[in-house]
Amino acid sequence: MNDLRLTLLEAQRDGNFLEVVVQSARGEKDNREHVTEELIALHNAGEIDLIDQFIRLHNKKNTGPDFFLTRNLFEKALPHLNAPIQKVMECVAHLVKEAGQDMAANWTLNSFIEHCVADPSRANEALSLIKNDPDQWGDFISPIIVAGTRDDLKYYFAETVNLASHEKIEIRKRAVYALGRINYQHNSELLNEAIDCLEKVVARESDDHLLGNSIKSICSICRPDHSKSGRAIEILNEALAKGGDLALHAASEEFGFNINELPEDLIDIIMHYLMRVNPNNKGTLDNIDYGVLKLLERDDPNSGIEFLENLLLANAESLTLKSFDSAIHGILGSKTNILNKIITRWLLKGDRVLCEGIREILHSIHGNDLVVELDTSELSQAESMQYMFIARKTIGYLFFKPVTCASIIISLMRQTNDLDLVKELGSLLFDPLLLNYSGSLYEYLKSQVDNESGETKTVILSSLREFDSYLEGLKSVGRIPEMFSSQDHRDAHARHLNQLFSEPYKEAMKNSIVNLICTKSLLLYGRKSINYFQHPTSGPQRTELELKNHGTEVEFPRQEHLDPFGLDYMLRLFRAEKQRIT
Amino acid sequence: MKLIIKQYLESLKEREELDAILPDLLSQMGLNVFSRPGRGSRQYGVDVAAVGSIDGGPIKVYLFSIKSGNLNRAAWDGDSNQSLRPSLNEILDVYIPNHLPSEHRDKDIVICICVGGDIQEQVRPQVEGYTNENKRDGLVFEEWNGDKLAELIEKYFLREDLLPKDARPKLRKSLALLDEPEASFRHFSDLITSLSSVEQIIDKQRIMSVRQIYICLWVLFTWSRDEDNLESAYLSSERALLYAWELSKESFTKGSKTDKSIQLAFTAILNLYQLISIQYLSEKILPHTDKRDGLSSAVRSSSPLDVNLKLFDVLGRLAIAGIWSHWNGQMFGKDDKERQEQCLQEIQVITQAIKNLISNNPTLFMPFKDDQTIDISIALLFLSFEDSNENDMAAWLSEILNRSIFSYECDGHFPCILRSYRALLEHPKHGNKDYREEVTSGSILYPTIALWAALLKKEELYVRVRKAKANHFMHCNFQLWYPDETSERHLYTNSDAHGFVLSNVPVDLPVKECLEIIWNECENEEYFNNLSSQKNGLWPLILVACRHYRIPVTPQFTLGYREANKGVDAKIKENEHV
Repeated sequence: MNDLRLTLLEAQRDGNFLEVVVQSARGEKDNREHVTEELIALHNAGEIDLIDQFIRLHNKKNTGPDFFLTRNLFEKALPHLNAPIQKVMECVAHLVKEAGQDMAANWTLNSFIEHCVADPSRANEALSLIKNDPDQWGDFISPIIVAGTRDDLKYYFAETVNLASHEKIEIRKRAVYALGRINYQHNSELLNEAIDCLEKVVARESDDHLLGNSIKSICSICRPDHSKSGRAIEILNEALAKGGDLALHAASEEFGFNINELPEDLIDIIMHYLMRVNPNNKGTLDNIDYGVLKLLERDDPNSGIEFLENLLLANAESLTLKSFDSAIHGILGSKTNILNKIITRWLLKGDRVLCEGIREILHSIHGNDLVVELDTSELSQAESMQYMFIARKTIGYLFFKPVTCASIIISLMRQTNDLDLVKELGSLLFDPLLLNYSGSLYEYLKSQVDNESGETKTVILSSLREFDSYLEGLKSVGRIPEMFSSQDHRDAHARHLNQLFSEPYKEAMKNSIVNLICTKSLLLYGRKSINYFQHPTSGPQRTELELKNHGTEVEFPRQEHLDPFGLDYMLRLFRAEKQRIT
Repeated sequence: MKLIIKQYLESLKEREELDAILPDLLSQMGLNVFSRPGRGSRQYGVDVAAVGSIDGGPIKVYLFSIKSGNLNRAAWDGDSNQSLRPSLNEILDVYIPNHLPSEHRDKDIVICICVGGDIQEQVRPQVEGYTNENKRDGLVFEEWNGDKLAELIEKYFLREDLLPKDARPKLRKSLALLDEPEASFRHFSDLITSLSSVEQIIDKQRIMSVRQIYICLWVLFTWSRDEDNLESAYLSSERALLYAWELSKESFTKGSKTDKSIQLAFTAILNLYQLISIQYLSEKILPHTDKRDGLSSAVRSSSPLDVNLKLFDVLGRLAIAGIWSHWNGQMFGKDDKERQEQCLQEIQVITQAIKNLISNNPTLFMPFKDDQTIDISIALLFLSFEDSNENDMAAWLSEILNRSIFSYECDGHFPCILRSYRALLEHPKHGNKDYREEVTSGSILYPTIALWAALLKKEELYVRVRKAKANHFMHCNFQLWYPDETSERHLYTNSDAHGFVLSNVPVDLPVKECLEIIWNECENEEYFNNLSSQKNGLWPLILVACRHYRIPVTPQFTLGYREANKGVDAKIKENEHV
């Protein structure tokens, strides 16, 4: 008997079997496989009852061995274990339950399927258990059907169809779900029967969860065989029309994770119904987000843009682009530069939710403001009078990204031959942009002069000159002590700001990565810190840590101090402005 | 103390400034000043002439020729017609033989060479040579330099037994804290209060108090000027003016010699107040009103509240200065066309400055505090002196209303009744309806806009106020303030609350009816007309008190519109009759 076996047997006697198993399996992959093999051998030889051991595994933080790592060893061993099916099912049910809401909670069921496949009698025996006590074993319907159909497709399919009309709804739900998990092996007859069954289910049932399972099953059936989409559309339509949030969530899962395998006509139906998504269902929104990302990654991202746009417009009061962070990432990372297209298109539409969406996209870019070149194909639909509308919307929503604002305005100036319009657009460069931002924007405009020509160049130069003269005016005022606020007021304001920022700072620090990777140590004096660390071999080691300055710079609009209301009023006005319909 | 006074004397820049202080000093010393400095050239070399006894000596005639700062070679005998030697020659050759009042011809004469600083060593031999050569029996020369003047000022104005116990430290503190104007002003106003707490029955004490306030204000002003920070001097001059009026007002209805002295002393303070105000505005404000954001940026604060508070304050000061110019113009009358023309020019400059200030500093389009309506009202009152300003006034009010309502609707920095700076920093507390109603539970802003909309015949603006009341401010008491029988007692010293308010100004009524109710309250009581400053033609003092103590401007000032309306109505009726 090898050492590992002896160790494991000893651990069983000592009552710390699972801890020792995990300990032994650490390290290389081969090591884990070796431990698994030993566990199987010991169990099948009757030396150790693995089922009995693993049923004692609990998912508790900071006590016992790591739950998922330990369970994984069981999952690897299970297909090869000989044990009474009921005992196995009890253990599997326990381990799934212990996993809680974790994404990997159901992974043990896959091992259970393999366990049943290894001996077809197990599936049969398990099915009998379910029929005798559906309340206790209902959760095993789907894995047993999956395992059983791999041995006897027709028998277990027929059992599934029967269970789909079981008197207990929980059984029906699982049976309908199982219909989508069966490998039909392209058996057209069975596929049609499955669709027949689903048609009856959606016609008969009204339970949201059950309808959701029908949606998942019909999509699952259609994924490998697009020819079934005709009947599937009817089923989807009916299920989604009757269903609620759960049905929609099921559809969103298909949209999010299987969109590239689904027939286009099914995607259209799903997209149609997703418009009524409940914005409180974060999970559903996340699924939609993944789906949109995949649409945007297609050669023609238009359907993704249109869907996103329509979704936001349909839920303008309750939904923002913030919920679609993957889509934002996709827009920014797009090789076809759909960002410019979206900015142009959405500014031209001017709807609040879309323009705020643009702001959301641009806010997720760190570092320098993005320079935007408007999409000429989108702009070609705009009348010249709409240029001012776009420019004002840009300022209204993107005011805190002055370089981006200016680049959009300049882009508009380039697209028109109307000199008056160019001047009117250019006036916005001075007021409000330069008037508020004299740093990066000024530098950008100065650098842009050389890249422009004609009236655009003239207008930029004139804006810069106007701003220079404005600054001259301010400088000439000089120091007027009579205008300064009193020391009392200055102190009170400083205290007020301190209070204002200290709470958010503390909140931010709670989630800061600095807290995770560093320990804090306060130096009251000096610029360097010297510490001694005890080295195991060479004794105390001296380390010297020099403090460095760390800072970040944010340019604040000047009018926020001088006339915050006027600025706010103007921005609100620009944001609220509607296009004149002629 | 003497050093402080000496420094003050040395820094008196203009000859007129030293002129201004000397007559009071001489009067306080018990001399009878029979010739005071007038505008333009000296009276044959004499700036000030007085007669009397100093320190129990014989009665003599004192003729002063004054030179500010130090006396150097140029000032002694240079090309300028202001040089001292030619002036002394004029005194000897013209004034004494021909213009000395006959009743003083038999008295000994002392010609006083009066300089704010010192006679410089380089010119002393010439001065001594001149005086030795020209002295004779009954005529001597005396040197009254900064040291002597400081000694006399200390002796006759600020002597320990003449001053309340803690007055000297207060003056010193107010000078030491000029960099922190509010603290400096606090000490100076304490000083004024302590100087003013005299039994007013004793006229001598009242004269002494007014003169002490005057000399202390001068000291503060010159020090402020040297520090290039006139803030404390400005605030202190307002306080000094109001307290001086409280001390002097009884004398303006009497005609005794003492009363006349008190009147003169008050007038000196009024002139000094105007000098400080003009210097403050002409050096610090007027050159920058035409620069976009110029004065807003000059506040150099990251708090928009600071900018707003300061700019409305500046607006009020500009408007008050304009009102004084208007008053000066009325006072000089048609006889002094040159001064009247100067006043008109000042009015034009200030009018344009106010318009520029508003358009270039947009924070003036919405007060953060309801009581900034006081500054708005003073500005409107000043602008209303010229009909051509009416459209600008209406446009400004319209924008104020726009922004205030919009800001209230979207929970921004809407005007509120909070006064404490700390509370204002925390305003507005977003999303708290009770708070919003609490801090707008009363207002003088909206009824003032309604009143002026009515006066300017801007019905649409008036209707917007009415709608604002109906839609947002049903909980708010729209009110206007009027003086009552106690106002005369408290207005100039802010010693207690006074006046009454017309509550719930009926902006829901048609313009004419609302206006009648507002004006009826003006007529019902005579308290306004009985205010001493109003009775004595010094009505701008009421506005100074309103600005300084943050008291609303009473609608009585708008009664002129009623008279104008009556004229128009009568004309219409006349035409209808014809």
